[in-house]
Amino acid sequence: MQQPSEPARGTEELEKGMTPGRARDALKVGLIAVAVLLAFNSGGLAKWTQSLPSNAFYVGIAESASDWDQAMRRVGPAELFEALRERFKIE
Amino acid sequence: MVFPTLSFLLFYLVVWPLSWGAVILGRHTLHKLVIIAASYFFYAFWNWKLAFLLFASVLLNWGTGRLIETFRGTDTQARIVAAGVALNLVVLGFFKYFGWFTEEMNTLLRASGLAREIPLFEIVLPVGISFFTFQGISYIVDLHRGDLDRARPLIDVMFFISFFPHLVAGPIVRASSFLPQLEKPPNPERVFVGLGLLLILWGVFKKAVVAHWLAVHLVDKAFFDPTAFGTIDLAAAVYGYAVQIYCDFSAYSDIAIGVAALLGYRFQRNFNQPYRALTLSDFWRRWHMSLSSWLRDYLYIPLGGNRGGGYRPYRNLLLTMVLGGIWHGAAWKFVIWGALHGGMLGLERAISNWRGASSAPLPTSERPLWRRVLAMLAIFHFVCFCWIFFRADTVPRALEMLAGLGRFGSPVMLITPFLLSLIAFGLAIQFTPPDLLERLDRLYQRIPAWAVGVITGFLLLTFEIIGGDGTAAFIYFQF
Repeated sequence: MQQPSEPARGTEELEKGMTPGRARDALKVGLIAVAVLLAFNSGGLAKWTQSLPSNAFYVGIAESASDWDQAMRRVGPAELFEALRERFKIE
Repeated sequence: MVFPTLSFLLFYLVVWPLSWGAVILGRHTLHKLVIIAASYFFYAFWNWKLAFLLFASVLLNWGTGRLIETFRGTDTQARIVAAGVALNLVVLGFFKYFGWFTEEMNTLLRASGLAREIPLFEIVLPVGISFFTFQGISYIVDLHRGDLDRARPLIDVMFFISFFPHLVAGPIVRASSFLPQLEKPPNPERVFVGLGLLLILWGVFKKAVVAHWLAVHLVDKAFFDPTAFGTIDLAAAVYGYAVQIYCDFSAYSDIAIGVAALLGYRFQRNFNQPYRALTLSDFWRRWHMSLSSWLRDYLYIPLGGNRGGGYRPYRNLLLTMVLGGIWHGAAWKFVIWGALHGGMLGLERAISNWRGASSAPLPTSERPLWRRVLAMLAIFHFVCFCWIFFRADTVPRALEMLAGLGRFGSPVMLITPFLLSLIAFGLAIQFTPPDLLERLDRLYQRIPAWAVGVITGFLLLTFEIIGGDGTAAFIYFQF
């Protein structure tokens, strides 16, 4: 067991030497990362919306996601992602 | 709702701006309410009825805290603390151990020829009950001991116990370290963005790639039917499980710490390269640190700790580790796992006392390299041996696994170069430099935010490509 005198370690320890930033930087990073994910993995989004309960609201969302996926396939990133996934599938 | 999934991403995309929006508007109470509402939504995603149990746990601990405040300094205070802790344990015990207890009792009754049996109920195990119960106890005990200066309002206790990043699988956050953070709103100009992002990405990689692959393609198959495999496959599965459980659980902790850091909150660190430990007590300073320090402060020390001399410290160690084992679940395999660890910790202590040295290991630099390597290998293999009981569905299955490890000459069926490389990777990351995160943060600081966003997006896509379809639930969800 740990010695009783040892204080509980927290993220203060992890934060030592790290530089704090602004919350809006995280927002910028998050939004761009999500945009990349939505463009390339639009198939994942469409698949996820199909698992939602079937009512008018969710059906509308699923249709929009499917349209978005079709558009990304036409433009290219979704096709590229699927091709890479197939290419690097490790059996 | 599981962390590295689209559902959680969408949830977080709504909660994050709402929570910071309230802070920027100067509405601290609103900020807390946003987080609490989000946490209950997060929990209700599994089973909305159990959200009432979570709320009842909050009320119990908040009410006990108010009573401690009212009767502070009187004899009644200790009785209130004892009653509050006992009630927490009764709730935990009912949901977690009632089924096991009745089954064991019925087996005993049948064996003694009695026809009457205790009726069995189908009891749903609420996700995260072991974690939020321990946090509730921490609130009561910290208040009683004076580690927490005063009882907190209901909204703060709700926030502390229900906060979604740690709610279902820890880290077990201490009331005395978390509640003071709620005194002021988090500072939007001082957020550890680099730390949060790095921990989240590292956690997603460990879970979605390393733990997922080892679980699906090696460990689950070997532990499902150990009689079908020989020495090499089963040994690889044991090493694979050691890496899987580390990558799975430390991933959850990393993501939880990262998610909380981006919301402006701090959690206790939970893992620190555990498989490089030179003694078993060193291992427990590095593995599931929030549980081991909880058990130390709220169980081992109240039991008497190192005081008393003679057999007492050994009894306390064994009892603490057996109870720590049972905390993981109602099964004999966890009792054995805890007893093995407790027994070995006692043995280490006895050897240390016999040598007349302190129980702390010698500084690494003072030990010859060969001794350090031998000690590390010995502790790692002991931990792996214990993992067999922890992972196997039952004790007989664990014994089959152990018997199978001696089945030399059987053909190798499970191992692939990719799986071996994942095991090697999982062991290699135990030896990365301690300031790696700091170095990566310095790198992050030099890259513009838009580029970090693009890199983050492409890294997540890469993990998705390598990880394959679906993400299994985290191992510690079942506890």
